Amino acid sequence: MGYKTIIEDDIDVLVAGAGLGGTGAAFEARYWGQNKKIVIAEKANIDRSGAVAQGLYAINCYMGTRFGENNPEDHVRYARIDLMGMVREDLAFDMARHVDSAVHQFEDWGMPIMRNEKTGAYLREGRWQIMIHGESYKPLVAEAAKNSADKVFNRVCVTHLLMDEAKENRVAGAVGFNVRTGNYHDRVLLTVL
Amino acid sequence: MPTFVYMTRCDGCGQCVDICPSDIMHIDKGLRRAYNIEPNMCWECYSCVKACPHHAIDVRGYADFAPLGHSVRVHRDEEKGVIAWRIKFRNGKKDMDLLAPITTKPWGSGHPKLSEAAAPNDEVRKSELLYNEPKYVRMDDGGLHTLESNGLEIKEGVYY
Repeated sequence: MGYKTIIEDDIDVLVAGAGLGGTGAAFEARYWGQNKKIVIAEKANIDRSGAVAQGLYAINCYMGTRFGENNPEDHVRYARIDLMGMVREDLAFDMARHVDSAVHQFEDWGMPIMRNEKTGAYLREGRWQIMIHGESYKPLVAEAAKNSADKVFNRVCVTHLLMDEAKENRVAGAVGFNVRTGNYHDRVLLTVL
Repeated sequence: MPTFVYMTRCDGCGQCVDICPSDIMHIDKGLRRAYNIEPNMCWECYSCVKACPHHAIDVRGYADFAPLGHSVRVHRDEEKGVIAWRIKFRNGKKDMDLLAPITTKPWGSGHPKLSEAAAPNDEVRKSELLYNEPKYVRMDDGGLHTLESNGLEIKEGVYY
């Protein structure tokens, strides 16, 4: 049995692994690089892959600054105590200040989020959790990624990153194989970010 | 507990093969029916159960709360935007129906077309904002938080 080698050239942004994070990244990448070539490689099917494949009935991190509930620094304080100090606070703060806008966009895309009928705030089941009807959480975000990406390679597992000879410590491409056929996928990544 | 296929309902269309995150739903070449090739690697994620157009796939429950003979049926409908679950107990008498929305909009209609959206200008590119920000952070009520705006600074080391 021979294996084919498939080469995909001139990729500007390669998303290696498209769970909820990768599919979201492909969507955001289209905004920053509207004429760039965005390609997704995922070892399963992006409609149902990653930790949210089966749906998720809560969003476990939402500040609710809009409803006067928490500020990003409150979340950093929580994470610091929860992890006994072993936390990159700058990264936690950065994540916390952007997470609300992601949730508001999910609601725009059609995610059913439960609300308190009187106040209009999202219903919570914990200080950081909000309640959603999230059976189609992943398909909903995958839909956004499919609209944004130029090409989606399902069932392709990226195994190695290729380093750029011209510039030290820069990734220039990646290789992977199709988990079904064994076909070797070789693709070139031109970093834009 | 893993999925199994009702051979009389399956027509070998392969929707479950396409969707399975573990890649363990395969088509038997002789019978031309789907089957779970590696039951102990099944996540019980129900992706294949929902994807099957003939409702030919079911998942065995754990014996401690769901003795053999029960079934969990599911029908996911993107057009109607709902998912319906029906739990049948093995005595045949109890039958629980659960209905939940999967979307608030006609499927796929809520996504913006980013290739047609206004391109970010240089000022936006140099800022700390992501797409739709700062509007979407607090929905027009104030901008993005920064360490400075919140009266904070990064300190070295572990402290409480």
